[in-house]
Amino acid sequence: MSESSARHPATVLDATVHQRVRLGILAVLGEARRADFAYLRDALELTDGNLSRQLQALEEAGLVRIEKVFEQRRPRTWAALTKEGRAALRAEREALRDLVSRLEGVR
Amino acid sequence: MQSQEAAHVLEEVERLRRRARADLRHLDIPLIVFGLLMLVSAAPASGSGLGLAQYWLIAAPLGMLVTIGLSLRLGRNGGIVGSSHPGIAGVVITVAAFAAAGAASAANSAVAAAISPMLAIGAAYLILAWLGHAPALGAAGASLVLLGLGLWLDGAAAERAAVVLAVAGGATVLATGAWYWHVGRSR
Repeated sequence: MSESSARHPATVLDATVHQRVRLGILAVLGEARRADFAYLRDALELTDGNLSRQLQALEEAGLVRIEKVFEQRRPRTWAALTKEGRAALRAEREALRDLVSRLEGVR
Repeated sequence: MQSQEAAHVLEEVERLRRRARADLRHLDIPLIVFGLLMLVSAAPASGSGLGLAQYWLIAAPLGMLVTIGLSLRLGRNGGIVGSSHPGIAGVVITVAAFAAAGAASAANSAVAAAISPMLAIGAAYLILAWLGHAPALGAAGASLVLLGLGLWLDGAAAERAAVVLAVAGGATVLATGAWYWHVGRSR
């Protein structure tokens, strides 16, 4: 297969994951067993509403598992990566690295 | 997508991963806990009260329990909880190091018995530093091992070697823990 006909890495990017905030959420969760809503909000510098929407999109795509619990009578939301989420994060990082190295090679 | 944009996104992802890893690593806890236990061990090392071996038989598991409990609590309060694998590795390495040190000291001299607990802690820190990419923890472990070996080679009396190790080693480990604690708070 010639260089020009090889699949371009940009075509591999997943539409659900390939969004700066969602990728950021997956990146944090990829390092931890779980993280709570407040931690994600502060780490990614988001508003509550924005983070809620992004988490919901990731949960609907089956990439993140959300658990709402009561701890010391207070509601707390924990998020964790699913197996699919971990694979999607890995694929996205690889695609981005590919894209960067390919475009740097052209220069 | 442009190369610069992709590079920027990748950079941001790496920054977030580094932050999460740093927030998950509570290295200050084992260093402060065991640093304090080492300083306290100067009393049994100088021959007052409990023997050194009996002291560590109680102090080492207690130190591990306190470390695990505090780490879990900090993780829950901080909003990010890591895998339990590093904790399990820490316990296994520390127990293995103490078992090896105990066997070595049983077969050897009083000096070996006096310095082997510190050598065990130093070796455990070195392995954990290597696993967790933590250079300051590695430096603390290396200092303990070198100090212990230095005293052994120097032919120091068992009691003096144990007291020097307890005070110098404990202070080094405690200072490293305080440094990690300070870095963690100022982040």
